[in-house]
Amino acid sequence: MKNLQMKKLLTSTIAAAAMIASAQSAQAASVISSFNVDITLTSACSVSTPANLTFAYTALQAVPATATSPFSVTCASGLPYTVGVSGNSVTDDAVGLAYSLAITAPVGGGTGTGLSQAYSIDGTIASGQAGTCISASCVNTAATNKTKTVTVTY
Amino acid sequence: MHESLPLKAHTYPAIAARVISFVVLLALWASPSYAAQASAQFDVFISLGVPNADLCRSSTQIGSFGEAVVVTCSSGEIVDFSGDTSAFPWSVTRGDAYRFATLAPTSAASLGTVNSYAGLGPVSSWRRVNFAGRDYLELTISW
Repeated sequence: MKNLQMKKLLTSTIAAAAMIASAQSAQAASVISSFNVDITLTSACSVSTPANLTFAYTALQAVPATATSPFSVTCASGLPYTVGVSGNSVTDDAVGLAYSLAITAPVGGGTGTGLSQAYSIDGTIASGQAGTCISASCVNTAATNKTKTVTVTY
Repeated sequence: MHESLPLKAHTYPAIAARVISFVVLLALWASPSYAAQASAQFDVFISLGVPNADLCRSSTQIGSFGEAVVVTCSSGEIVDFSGDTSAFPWSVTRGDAYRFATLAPTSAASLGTVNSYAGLGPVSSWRRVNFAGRDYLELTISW
């Protein structure tokens, strides 16, 4: 009887030792290989299309006429850029009124933030101009120089 | 002790080419690597109106006495002076005119005596003009 108990104890011990050995062998060894994530970022800017600039002017009026059109510029963060507008001082070839266009920049404008930056185009028609109009009122629909381009250079 | 050997004549073009290449590469390196652009277009619309008081221009030059004069106003209305002008005949003018304007006296008493005279010589005309709530006396002398 005692030999039987000893035999069971021995069997259990051997089984436990085998399980421990088996568990130790399940721990996998590690081999490490590292790599880099390389990213090439091409800097770019985008500009929204400004709304049309609309003036209402009365011939020989005593005060300048003004109009404003907002637009936005979005550039990669940290990227320097400049904003310009074509034909910023011109005489409309349909109604004969001279006007000027200027860009108003926000604080921090000229360097991209990755976010939209608000700009505006401010137009002015100086006072005292007669213009060209053979009727009670005229619009410059037929003007060939009424289309302007706002350009962001980066 | 080594003596420096004189450069052979045919080596100068090669050196010059290398120098030019270096300068070009240096310029390319120093200049911005790109100058890209983004752009958008918009239109400038102008509505031009004319004041209530018409702007009128004569479409004919000064001609002979009695000649019809056509004046076109900004409203598009054509004013013809060739009709019956016997009541207020136009003065004969052959050249330019000077125009003066001054504030009109507020009372007739201060105007004094106006010596009217019509005869050969420069033509003068007077009229009272009301502008912005004030009266002006306008004198035009033509010849």
